[in-house]
Amino acid sequence: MDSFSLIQFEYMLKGLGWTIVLSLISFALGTVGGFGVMLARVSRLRPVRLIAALLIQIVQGIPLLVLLFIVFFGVSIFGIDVDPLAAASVALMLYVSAFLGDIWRGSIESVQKTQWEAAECLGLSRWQSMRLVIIPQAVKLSLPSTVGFLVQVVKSTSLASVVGFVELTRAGQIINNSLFQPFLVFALVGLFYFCLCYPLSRWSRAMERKLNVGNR
Amino acid sequence: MSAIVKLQDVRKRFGDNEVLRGISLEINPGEVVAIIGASGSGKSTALRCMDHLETIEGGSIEVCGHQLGAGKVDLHQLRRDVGIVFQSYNLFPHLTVRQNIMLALKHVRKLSRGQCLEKANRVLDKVGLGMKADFYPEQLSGGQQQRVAIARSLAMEPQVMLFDEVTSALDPQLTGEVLKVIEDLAAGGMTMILVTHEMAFAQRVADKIVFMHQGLVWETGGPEILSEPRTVELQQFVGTGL
Amino acid sequence: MKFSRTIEQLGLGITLAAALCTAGQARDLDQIKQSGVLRVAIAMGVPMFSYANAQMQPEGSDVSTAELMAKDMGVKLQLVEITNAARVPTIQTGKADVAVANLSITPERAKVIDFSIPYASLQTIVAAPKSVNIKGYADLKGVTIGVTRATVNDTDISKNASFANIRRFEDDATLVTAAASGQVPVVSTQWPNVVEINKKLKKTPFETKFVEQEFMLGVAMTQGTPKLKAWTNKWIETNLKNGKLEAIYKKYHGADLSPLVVNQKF
Repeated sequence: MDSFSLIQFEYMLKGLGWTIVLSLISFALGTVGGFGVMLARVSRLRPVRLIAALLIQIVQGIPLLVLLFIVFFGVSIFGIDVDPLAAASVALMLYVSAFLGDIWRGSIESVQKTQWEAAECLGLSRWQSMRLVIIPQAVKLSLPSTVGFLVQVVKSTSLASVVGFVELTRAGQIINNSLFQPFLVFALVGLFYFCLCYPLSRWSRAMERKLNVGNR
Repeated sequence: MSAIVKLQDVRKRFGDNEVLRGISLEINPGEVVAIIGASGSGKSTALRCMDHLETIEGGSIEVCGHQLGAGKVDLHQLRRDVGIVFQSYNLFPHLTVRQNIMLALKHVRKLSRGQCLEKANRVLDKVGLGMKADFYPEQLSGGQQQRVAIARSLAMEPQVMLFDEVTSALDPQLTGEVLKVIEDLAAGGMTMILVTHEMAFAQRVADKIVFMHQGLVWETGGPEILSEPRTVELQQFVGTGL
Repeated sequence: MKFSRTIEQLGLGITLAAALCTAGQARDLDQIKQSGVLRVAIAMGVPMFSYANAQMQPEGSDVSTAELMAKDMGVKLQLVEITNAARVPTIQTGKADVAVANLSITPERAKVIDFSIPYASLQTIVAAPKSVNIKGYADLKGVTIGVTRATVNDTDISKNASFANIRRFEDDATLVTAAASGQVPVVSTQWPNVVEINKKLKKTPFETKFVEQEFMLGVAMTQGTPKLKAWTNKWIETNLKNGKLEAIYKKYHGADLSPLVVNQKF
């Protein structure tokens, strides 16, 4: 390869496409899983809380790369064959759920106890209090951490190359290992990631302002 | 007339600290009772026990027909019969004033949107805050927020209303507007129990004064006990209070 | 490369610990022929062996070897493009039938996958411009030498020439850039990287000073596929004798296939 041409640019765009797909899958599955994890962590039943805490610790303690490895290659040992997209989806879901669930649990607990009291003294059930009073306040509190984490997830999808996805970073590596112009190639890769992550951060700030409408 | 709130020999401890050492109290419908005492005398705890915000270790509490000792309590119904207003107002910051009031009306009393609106506007007018209905709590003064809290509780049409030092967190110039609302409620016949430091107000508005000291009901009587205290402890307390 | 080696070791560890055979997943020669497709895993992004050409298509000595293998087997070639870290696990779990992915034959790997006889080799070399006089490790005393972090080069130079001024770079591409821009006068690396350096240093090209180590490369196959292994070994023998494998190597590496491989003496 002598120079960076349109063909290489298209290859990189394809990689970008995979990064976007993997990120969206992570967000979708991870937020659903994270909500479940959060509920388990604030459950009234002690065993549920403890099991959830343990699972969170385990998943948080395993690097995402190892998680991908285990889900894709590890389960093959037991005769279960998973395709790359399924493996990446499961691994990313576990990873994102564990972190988001914990972030959200923290936000729920940050809402003052007096809010629970006030809600329940008006006759609202525990679930009604959670849904109508606590969660809306917790969402606002958790927004910076949540979006900050999601931005990390976008970048973490690069690890999915180990199960065969030629996402943005891998596309860059392949091009660079033929072209040997790392500054050009990885500056472009960085630019693409920035284009994905910056809007997320901007959107987060806009949401924070909107949720703060009652405050000055 | 049978008592609507009855405490008998109630005991409560927090860890090693016995905060309520056997208090007994009876409140009749329509009565306004002021509970006074120094910090740590157990008065707030006693009040919170009446709405099952704290559980008791000994004795019995009966509120609006609910037994609050051991055994299961129909919290849902209890919290409809009893309204409580807190020292720190505890309004829901993410909702407007009107939405704060309508929330429980909609989800607990299951009223239609129209009915919720009508009721909310009515109680807001009653506390003099109709024009602030679409404001957020943060945009209101402390006195206004507390009046909203009272309106929020009142909208649920409880049989008994509890007030836990509701003016203690307010600047002096703001307490007046809140006390006026409470006085109006009292004149309207609501059964009310107030834990308060406002001695002059208590003397003017309350039917009965309960002085608590070190976890016990030390002295009770009509408003006159504030000017003519019988026990030494109340003399000392009132001497500093008034 | 360091990270992928750690992950590779981790992958080996996981599967060794599981100690359950994946023979059930593996396809032997008959099944491959019947299906009409040979799935060959190649590690993309390795200069000269398996890299992307200007049309972003896989090209290189490993790719051509795979093409020839499929042709001679009478089946269609299906390339499974993977990363270095995934090479051994991919074969172990039967996600590909064979791997032609510049895999050095090592005892640890041989515990979990089968290797054919060597079809090529990888030399780690010390290289520098003609003017620099280096004949062996001793001549590296006080010399600034560049290596890629945590590669066999790093290990070897650290061990045998610790008196040199060793500069470690994160990957091959960075090392190439550093040498081409004059940051390091001497390197310990593999030949393909020297070719890349020389593309930029046309006036003072690097040449091989001495060979540190030579690693035999084998075609990897899932354990429990004896017919496939036998066929592959015979195929390599045949094509070394008829010079086809030598021609492929020379075409992409610009150098002769090591005599140790040609004569199968290692």
